Amino acid sequence: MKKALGFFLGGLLATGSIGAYAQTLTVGMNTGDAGILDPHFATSTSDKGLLHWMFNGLVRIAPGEANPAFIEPDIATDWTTSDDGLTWVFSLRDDVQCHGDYSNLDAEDVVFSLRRAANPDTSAFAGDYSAIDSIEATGDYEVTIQLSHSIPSLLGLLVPYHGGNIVCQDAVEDLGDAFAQQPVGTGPFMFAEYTPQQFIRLEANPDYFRGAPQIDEILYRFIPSNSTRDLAFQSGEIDMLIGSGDQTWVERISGLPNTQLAVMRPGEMSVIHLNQTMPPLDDIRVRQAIAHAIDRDELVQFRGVDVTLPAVSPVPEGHLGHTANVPTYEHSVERARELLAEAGYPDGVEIGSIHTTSSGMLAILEAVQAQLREAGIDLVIDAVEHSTFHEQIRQDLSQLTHYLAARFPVADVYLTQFFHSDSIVATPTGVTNFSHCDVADDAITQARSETDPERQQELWATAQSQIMEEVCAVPLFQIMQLWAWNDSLDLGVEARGSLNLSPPITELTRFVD
Amino acid sequence: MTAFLLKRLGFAFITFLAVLTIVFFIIRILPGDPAYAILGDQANEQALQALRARLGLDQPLFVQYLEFLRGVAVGDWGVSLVSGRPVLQDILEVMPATLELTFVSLFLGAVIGIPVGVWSAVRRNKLTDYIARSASLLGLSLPAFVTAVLLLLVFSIQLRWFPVISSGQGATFGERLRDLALPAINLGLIMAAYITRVSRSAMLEVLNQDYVRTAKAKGLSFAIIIRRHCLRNTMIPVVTVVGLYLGILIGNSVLTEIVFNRPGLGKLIIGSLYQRDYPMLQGMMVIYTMIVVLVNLITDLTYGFIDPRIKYS
Amino acid sequence: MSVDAPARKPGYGAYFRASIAASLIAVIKAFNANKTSWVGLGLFLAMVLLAVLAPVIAPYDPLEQNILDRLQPPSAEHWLGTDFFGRDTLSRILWGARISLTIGLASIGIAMVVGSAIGLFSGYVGGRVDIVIMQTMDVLLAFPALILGLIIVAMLGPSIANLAIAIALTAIPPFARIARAPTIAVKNREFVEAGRALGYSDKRLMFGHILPNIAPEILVMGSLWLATAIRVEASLAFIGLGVSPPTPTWGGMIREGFENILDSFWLALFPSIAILIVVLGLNLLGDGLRDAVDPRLKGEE
Repeated sequence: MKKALGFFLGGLLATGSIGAYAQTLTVGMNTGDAGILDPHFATSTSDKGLLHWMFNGLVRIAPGEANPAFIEPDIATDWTTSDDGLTWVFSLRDDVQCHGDYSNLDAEDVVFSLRRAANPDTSAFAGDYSAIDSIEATGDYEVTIQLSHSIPSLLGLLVPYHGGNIVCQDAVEDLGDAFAQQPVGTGPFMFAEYTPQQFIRLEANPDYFRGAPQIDEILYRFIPSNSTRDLAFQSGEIDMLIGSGDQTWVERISGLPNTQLAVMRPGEMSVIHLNQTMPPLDDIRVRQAIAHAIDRDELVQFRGVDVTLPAVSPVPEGHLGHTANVPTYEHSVERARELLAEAGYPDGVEIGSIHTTSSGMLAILEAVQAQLREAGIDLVIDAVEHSTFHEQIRQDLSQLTHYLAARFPVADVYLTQFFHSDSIVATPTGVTNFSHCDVADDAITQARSETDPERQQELWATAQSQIMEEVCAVPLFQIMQLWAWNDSLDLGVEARGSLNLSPPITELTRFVD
Repeated sequence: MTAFLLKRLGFAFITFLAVLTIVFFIIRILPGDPAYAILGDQANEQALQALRARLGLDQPLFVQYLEFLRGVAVGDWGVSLVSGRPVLQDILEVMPATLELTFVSLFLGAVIGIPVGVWSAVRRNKLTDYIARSASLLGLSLPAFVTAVLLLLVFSIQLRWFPVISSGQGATFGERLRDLALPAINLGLIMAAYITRVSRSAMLEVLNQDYVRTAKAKGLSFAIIIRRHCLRNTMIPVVTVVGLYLGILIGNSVLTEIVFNRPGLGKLIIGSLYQRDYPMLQGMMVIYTMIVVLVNLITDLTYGFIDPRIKYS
Repeated sequence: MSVDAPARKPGYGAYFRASIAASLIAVIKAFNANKTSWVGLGLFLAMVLLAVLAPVIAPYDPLEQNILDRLQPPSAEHWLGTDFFGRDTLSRILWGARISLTIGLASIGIAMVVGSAIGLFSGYVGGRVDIVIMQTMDVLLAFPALILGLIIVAMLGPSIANLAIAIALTAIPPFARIARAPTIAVKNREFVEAGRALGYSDKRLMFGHILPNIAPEILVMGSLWLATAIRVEASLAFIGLGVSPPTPTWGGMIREGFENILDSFWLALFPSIAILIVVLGLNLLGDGLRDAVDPRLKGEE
C-alpha cells in the first residue's frame, strides 16, 4: 500500500511544472476574471493594467513614470500648437504596425480611434473629449485636432490611457463585438488567448516599432485571493504579483528571497466626504470636529509608512496643480469635543456611513471609526455589498462617504469630479461629489480654461484652500500601488509610477540570470 | 416506471419555471446596477442612464421577464453585460471543472465517510467511535477557506507536492489529477464529515431492527450480518442526505474555488452577482436549477437501485 | 422548549399545551437515556454563559483599537493575541459569542419551527398538497445555501436579524424533510389510527400525538444544524457579507483573520476553535439524543 502511494505521488511529481519555459512572464492579478478588453470601455484596474502592455497613444508618459511632466513621443513624433492653444497638429511615425495581419497604422486610424473614444456609444470616456471640436487627417501621417476651448492638458488625453489608447480601424470594424474580447493594438505585446477565470496570454509583437520584446509571452493570471496569490509567488508559480496594499504584505514579501518590491504612483487617495446637506453635518463646526478627531499620522502608521503618503489637500500630491498649502486641522480630541459642544452636541453625535464590505477599504473606515469614537462621534457603518454601495452613495443616501480613487494626475480631474457642484450626486450631471461642495466652483471652472500655467496653478490652489476651509472632505492618505516581482526579471526602466496601475512591461523587459 | 418518470419530469418542469421566475425578480430588485460595473465610477448620471437605456434595463420589468423567458426557450441566453462574452459559452467552459471537483469530492467523501460511519456505529461508544466522531467534528467546524489555506501551506509550500494554483485544465490525466488533488481533498473531507455522521446514525438504527436481532439469534457471524443485512438499509438515508447536502457542497465549492484559484460555476456566480451581470446570473440560475432538479430525480431513482422493493408509482 | 406551533388559535390552546408538555417529557427521557447529552448540554451552556458574562469577564474593550500593538502573538497580556487593529482577540471572541450564538439560535429556531411545521403539515395531509409543498422545498434547496444567503443579505442589507433570516431560509427545507418522513410513519401507527377512530380532530392528532413523537428527532437535527448555521455565518462573512463593523462575530473574525493568515494565523484559528467547542457540545448533545431516541420511531418511508 505504502509503495503504491509512493508510486502514485511520484507519478504526480514527474509531470513537472506547468508550461514554464523561461521566457514566459507570469503575472498574478487580484481579480477573478477578465472584464471588457476594449480599451475604450475598460475601467477596472485589472483590465486597464493588461491593456497597458498592448496599446500606444499619440504621446506617452515615459515608462516607469506617472507624471504628465514626462510626456514624450509615442505614435506621434512631434507636434505643434497654435498661439491660442486650440489647434494641434501631430506628425506620426510611418512604421507602426497593427497586431497580427492588420495593416500599417496611419492618420485615418488615429482619427477613427479618437472619434471612437469621443463617441458615447463606443466609449466610456466620451465625456473627457467634449472640448474637441474636430479631429481630421491632414496627411497620410498627420492629424489635426481642433479644440472648442482651452483645456488643462490635451496631451494628457492622448496618452495610452482610457480613450487615448489608439485602436486600429480595420480590426475594430472587422471584429465587431468580438473586439472587446480580442483587442488589437500596436504595442509590444498582442492578445493571444483567454481562458475564463484563469488567464490571458499575450505574445510578443515581433513587429513592434521600438523593436521586438525580449520576453516571449505574458501570462496574466487571475488570482483573487490575496493569500493564494502570495503563496503562488512564494512557490515560484508566478513571477510578478500585485500586492494587497498594506504594511504586513510589504514586510512579508520583502522577506522572501530574490524579491524586488515596487511602490508606484499614482496612489489611490482615501478621502472622507462629509455631506453638508445632512444634519448634523450641515454645521461646519461638526465637520471641523470630525477633521480634528481624525488622527492622520496614526492612520498612516496603521496602513503602513512604506505604502502610504499622508494627504492634507483634496488633490493628491504628485498631481499637476496640487498644493499642500491649505488650511489644516491638527489632531485634537479636546478641540473636536469643544466644537461639538459649540454646535450644540455636548454629548456627541451619531453619523451614518454607507460603506462597502470590500475589506481593504473597510479596514480604513474601521480605524477612523475608533478615532471618532474617542471624540464622542459615533460613526455607524452600514456595510453593504460593493455594488449596492456604489448605487446608494450615488443616490445621496450616505452622511459620510469614504471613497478610494486614483485619477488622471491633473488637479482638474479630482476637483471637478469630487468638488464641483455640477458633479453633485443624484443630479443628471452627477459624478462623485458626495459632499455637495460648491465653494470652489469658480476657481475650478476658471482654472480649466486658463492658458497661463502660473495663473492656473494659483486658481487650483485657491480651490483646494476653499474646499478645506469649508471642510467638504477630510483627505486621509494616498495608498501607493504595490507590486513585487522576482529579481531575475529586469524591467529595463525604474518603476516609479504607472498611469494604468500596472508595472511598465515593455520591449526592454527581460529575464537575467 | 415510465409514468413515474413522466410525472417526475412534469413536476421538475414546474419547479424549474417557478425558480426561474422567483430568481428573475429577486435579482432585479437587488440594489445596485450593472451600469457602474460597465462604465466605471467616473461616468456621470446621464451617461449611466444612456447605457441603461441601451441595455434595455429601463424597460418595464415584465417586458424584460418575457424577453428572458423567450431567450431561455430558444436557447439565446444573451451576452455578459460585463465582458460581452456569450453567457452560455462562459458557463460551459467552466462547468467541467466544477462537475469534476463536485463528483470527485463526493466520491472521496463517500469512500471515507461510509466505512468510518459504519465502523463507528458498530464500535459504538468505544474509542474508535469517539475518534471518528471527533474527527468528523473538526471537518464540520472549520470553514472551508481556512482548511484550504492550511492544505496549501503544508502540501504546496512546505512539501511542494502540488501546485498552489489549481488550473483545472491540465492536458494530461496526471496533470488534471495533480490540480484536482488539494481542492478535492478539502471538499471531500467536509463531505466525509457529513457522511460519517449520517452513516453512523443510519447504521445504529439498522442495528436495532428486529431482523438484525433475529439474525444474531440465528447465530450468523457479525461480519455477515453487517454485510448482508445492514449496509443496504443504511444506504437509503445516506443517499438522501448526500442529495440534501449537495447544495452545501456547491456552496462550499465557491470558497474552495476561490482559495485554490480553480475555475468554476461558484466563482462565476459570485462575480456576476457582485457586478449585477443580469444575463450571466440568470443563465447560472437556469443551470443550477437544472442540476438540482436532475440530482433530485437521480436520488429518487437510486432508491430503487439500492432497494428493489421500492416501487415507483 | 423551542418546539413551537406556527400560530396560536383560540380553542387549540389545550392541545397545544399538552403537546408541549408531552414533547418536553419525551426530550428529557431521551436526555437521561444517554449521559453524553448532558455533557454536550453543559459544554454548550458554558459557552452561552461566557457569552452572557462577556461584559464582566472580557479583559479589554472589544472595540478599543491600539494600532501600535496590532497583530501581536498570544502573550501574558493578550492571551489570544491582538488583531489587525490591535484589538484583544480574547475579548472579541467573548463578545462575538453573543452575536454568533444569537444568529445561530435565532436562525435555527426559525428554521426548526417553520420547517417542522411545514413538514408536519405536508406529511400529515399528504396527496397533491404534499407534492406541491415538497416541490417548493426543492425549489429552496435548489440554491446553494451560501448563494441564497448572499442574495438575501444583499437584498435586505446585512444586519443581525437579516443574517438570521437568510440562514434560516437555507435551513428550512431540511427540517421540513426531516419532520415529514416520521410524520408519515407515525400517521399510520396504531395509536394515531386509534385516535382517529375515537374521533379526535386532525389538529389534536398532529400536535397532541405526532409532534411529541418526532420532537426529539427534530431537536437532534436542530443541534446539528446550529453548528452549520454558525459556520455559514463565517462563510458569508468571507464573501463579504456580515454584521457591520466594529461589532465582533466569530465569522467576521475568521474572515478578518484570513486576510492576515500568512502573517498571523492565530487570528483565524482561535475563533475557529470557539466554533469547534460549540459544535462539539451541540453534537454530543445531538448524538446523545439521537442514540436515545427509539429508532423504531422512524419506520420505512
